[in-house]
Amino acid sequence: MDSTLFDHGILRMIESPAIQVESLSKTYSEGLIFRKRFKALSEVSFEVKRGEIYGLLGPNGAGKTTFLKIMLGIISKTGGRASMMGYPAGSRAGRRMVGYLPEHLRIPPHMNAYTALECYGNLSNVSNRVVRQKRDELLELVGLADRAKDRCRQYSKGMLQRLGLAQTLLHEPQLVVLDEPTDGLDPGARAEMRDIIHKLADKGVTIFLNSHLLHEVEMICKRVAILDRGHLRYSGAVDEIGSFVEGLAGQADSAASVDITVLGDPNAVNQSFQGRAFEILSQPGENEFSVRVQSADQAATDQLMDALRKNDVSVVELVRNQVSLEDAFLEIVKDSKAKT
Amino acid sequence: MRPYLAIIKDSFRAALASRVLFVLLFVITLLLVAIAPFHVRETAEWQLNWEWRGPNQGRNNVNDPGKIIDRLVNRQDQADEKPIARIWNLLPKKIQSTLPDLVQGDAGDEVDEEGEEQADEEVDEQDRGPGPSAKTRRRNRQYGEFIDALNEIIEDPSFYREEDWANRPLPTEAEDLMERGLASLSPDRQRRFNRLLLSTALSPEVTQGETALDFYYGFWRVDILSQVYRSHQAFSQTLTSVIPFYFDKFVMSIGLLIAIVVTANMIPDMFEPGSLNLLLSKPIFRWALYLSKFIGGCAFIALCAGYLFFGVWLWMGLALDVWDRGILLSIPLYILVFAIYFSVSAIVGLLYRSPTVSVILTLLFWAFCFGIGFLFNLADARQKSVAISDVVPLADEVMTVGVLQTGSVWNASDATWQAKLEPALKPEEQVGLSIGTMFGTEGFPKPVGPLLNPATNQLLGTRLSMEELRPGRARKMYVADATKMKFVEAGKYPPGVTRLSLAEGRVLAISGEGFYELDQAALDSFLQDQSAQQGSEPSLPGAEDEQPTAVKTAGKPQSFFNRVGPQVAVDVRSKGYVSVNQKNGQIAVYDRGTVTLFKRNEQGYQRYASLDINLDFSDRMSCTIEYQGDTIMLVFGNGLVVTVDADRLVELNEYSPETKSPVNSVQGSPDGRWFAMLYRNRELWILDRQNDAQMNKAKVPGQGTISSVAFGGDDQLWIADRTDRVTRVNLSSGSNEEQLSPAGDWLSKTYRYVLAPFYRVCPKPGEFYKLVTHLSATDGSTQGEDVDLRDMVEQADPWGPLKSGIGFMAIMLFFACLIFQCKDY
Repeated sequence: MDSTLFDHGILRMIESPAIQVESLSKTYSEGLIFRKRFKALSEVSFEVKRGEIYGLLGPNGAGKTTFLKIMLGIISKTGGRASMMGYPAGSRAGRRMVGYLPEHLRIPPHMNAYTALECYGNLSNVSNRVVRQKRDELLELVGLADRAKDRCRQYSKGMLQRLGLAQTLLHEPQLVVLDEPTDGLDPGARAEMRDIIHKLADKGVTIFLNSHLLHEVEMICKRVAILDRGHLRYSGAVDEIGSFVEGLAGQADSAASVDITVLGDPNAVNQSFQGRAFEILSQPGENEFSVRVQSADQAATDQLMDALRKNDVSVVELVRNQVSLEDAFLEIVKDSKAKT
Repeated sequence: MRPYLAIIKDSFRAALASRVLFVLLFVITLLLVAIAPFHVRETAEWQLNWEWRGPNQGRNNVNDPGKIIDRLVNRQDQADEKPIARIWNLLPKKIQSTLPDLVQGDAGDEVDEEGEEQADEEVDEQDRGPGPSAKTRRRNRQYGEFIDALNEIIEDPSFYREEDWANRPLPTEAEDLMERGLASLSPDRQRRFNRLLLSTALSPEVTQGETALDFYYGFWRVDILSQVYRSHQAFSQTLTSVIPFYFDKFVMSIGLLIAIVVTANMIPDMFEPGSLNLLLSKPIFRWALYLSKFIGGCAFIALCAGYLFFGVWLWMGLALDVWDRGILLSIPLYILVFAIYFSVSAIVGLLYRSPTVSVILTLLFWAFCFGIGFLFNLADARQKSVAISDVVPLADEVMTVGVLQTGSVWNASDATWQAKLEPALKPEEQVGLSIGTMFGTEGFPKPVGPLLNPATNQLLGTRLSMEELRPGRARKMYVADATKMKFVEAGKYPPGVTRLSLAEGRVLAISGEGFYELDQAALDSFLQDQSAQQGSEPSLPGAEDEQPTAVKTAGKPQSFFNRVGPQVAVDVRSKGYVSVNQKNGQIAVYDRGTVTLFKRNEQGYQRYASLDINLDFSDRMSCTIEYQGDTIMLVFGNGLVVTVDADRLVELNEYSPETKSPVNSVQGSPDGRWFAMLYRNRELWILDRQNDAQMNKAKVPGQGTISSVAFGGDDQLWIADRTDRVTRVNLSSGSNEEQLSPAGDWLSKTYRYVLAPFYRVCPKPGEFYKLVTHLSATDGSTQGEDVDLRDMVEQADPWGPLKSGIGFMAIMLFFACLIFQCKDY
């Protein structure tokens, strides 16, 4: 590899992850003499690849905002390493490549959509000429084209969020950091927001999403990181979070099971489940039973179905239990609380 | 720059969108509308009126046309009467041809006589009926035509030609009109200007005429102002001098408070969640972001200040005809003053993120600065009244003379200056002199001496008394034994005495009328008689023992000085123009470019040599001369220093010290090696004649606060600085051999260690008008060979408030940027 290119940071910029943190720590201090210390981030390490949609999850006080602020240079780290698009986190060069939509965005009320885009565009060093070229397209994209000349004081929270998203995209960033982007949006607008995010990802833009809405994250993100009280609890694919949860000792009571409602003689039903771990959940009617049965995979489920048919037991309903992101999140957080 | 310009631009947008801005602009508009109807009309007489009206001349403002005609006819062809020639040439040929006939037979007298005759005739006419003679009527008609011709000249815009009036002093009003630009004058002003020219050429027959000012508020005439101001010039000068003061006191105080209140939320608003994080995530420098916000806040106020000041400037120009640039200068100055306090408001907003706290702390800070300034000026005036004004080396100690004419010697036991010279001034004299010191001592007679005569160990000097405050009074001489230090009144000094000097051990008094030598034997005899008559030590009337002196009992003034030349009086305008050589007794006098040396012989002082100094500037430039050893030093008012070899009478060197201050005093060491120049800015410069390639700012303690210096020997220089500290410096070795520094009372300590430091670093509200006045008054010619620094108005550095304010603001902004840069948000 040409070392000159590395020296100039070009290849570093191209090949480096969008976000890379290693042992990132942040401790807040308060007071001059009797300083109180609070550890907001502790040895956090993970990586966000270029072009992916990545979610950052965690309960209140988990350190998500602290993490974002460190990456954007709003606060300084106290330990570890962090980079953004190949540049040290918080550096001006790194910030040039980032579009940021903060939570509770406040746009000065004297502005309208045009002047806000001009102001924030200029702050990202975009000329007025370029702003004028792009502003209608962007406002169209976020659904504010017909309110472009209205003062921002007349905007709803959702409209401000959409205007915020427009200013985020004005300078064509390679990394978009969205902090609760769907907060305050109606369901239709949320769907539009998801659509915009997917379109950006299709263009190769990396999306880093911080949200409380786990369902939204599950629908949008391919990979997530879960922070809790400053510690990284999980970092990986959303699809694999179930396995991760299963791996947590003694926490797999709802994992790899099916809920089945059957109709038949109680003895026959009982005989059908012989040799399998099961639990009768309810008895909706006479000779009708709702049962949860451990079933590791589809083959085990097929064998169970064969046994039921053999004993003349009718299957009314069968539902395979899956670990949702929300379940996994709650499990992980519960587990960490238990450990502490 | 684009991101930061965007912040400033947004501040403008915010200001324009703000109701506060429009409220302010509305209030300012109301103010301007309220003052707009106030205007002034100037009535300036320009037309010449002459008409024979009998004994009562009525509206005539030309008394005797015959005398004017006489001057025109007889002097129009003289080379030094170009204005007369100009008037003559502008008269119509027909008029020119008739004028010589009117001169014949002494027309003026004839007119008077015949005028009287005619008056008699007219009086009689009522009874008798016959009118004036045909000859009289014809002449009066010709006079009338002549006056009409002069009026036509007055109405001629091309009357003034620079070459005609060169070297002819014009009335101040005319010069004022010329400064405005003749081309831009209204027709009335143009005629008025021509009338002034005519009066200059034909004075006293043609007077300048009268001017009157009428003040109106709308249609309502304000009589009281019309009675106060008769000329527009006086009104204009008053207005331009008071406007900056009141603008400073009110607009820059009340207006400042309003400005601080309305801008207090600008920085705290930046810290609202969702606003700050977005700004900080942008690729910009934080410190520049803060500065941009700061400049944006100033832009908000700039709009209001610009509107107000420009409006007032326009009103003054259009309604009052006073185009005062000081008003326009106030715009950037006011913005700067606001910026100084806004820097405080901003840093408080940065720290506390609360507009209310910003406003309260900023106002408290303003009040603190105002209080510090007030207390400092009080304490400074008090310090000046107790400061050392003169140092007198005695035989084995040093005496300091205070502004209140106290004579003190050092008391080593308690490290203080102990007043020893008796008697002290009476309380009423002290109060008068204290007030005079605070507001300028121009009206007080300058103290002469005290001078120590080492041969007799006597101190000679003057002493302020209330009766000497009256002009023309001869100064009383006071003598004291330098050991006992009790002054005795001993006759009077020669009239107009300016300085006392030693010449070969003799005491000389220099005055504008000549040189006088003290009759030491007579004085000693007098003192002995005094002592014998009283049976005790002589003392002064009014002193504690109230013993009358021999001088008083003698009933008439007595002087112990005898005139010792020169035969022809020399122009010694002040003590700086003459110097006595201590060792050879010769006297050097400077007068308009010439140094004249006087030497004593049996007949007294005789002029024996002179040298014309090669000047590149006016010979009327002020000069201070000092003659010691074989060197004469001349320090001119424009700062140039020239040394002259007194033996060969040739110029030696020229120096231009880097100071823009005029020299206060020049002292030479008795051997003539060292010359010490003390400037008005209290800096001391030294010239060493043994190494005289350049003169240097002396490396001595207290530079900038030095009030007096005196040589105590050939290389021993006593320096008084910092109000009451005295240091003896050995100029050869450069060492401080002795320093007498009293600890001072609590007032002095408070002044020195609390008030002065705070005053130096804090902004100075209420003092910016000095700069506006200074900038309005100066025409930029504060430097140059022809500018006499002594003519410059002595005032504290007018730029001082600006400099300290900018310095303070820079510190505030630096710390604010540092905090903003380093703090986590």
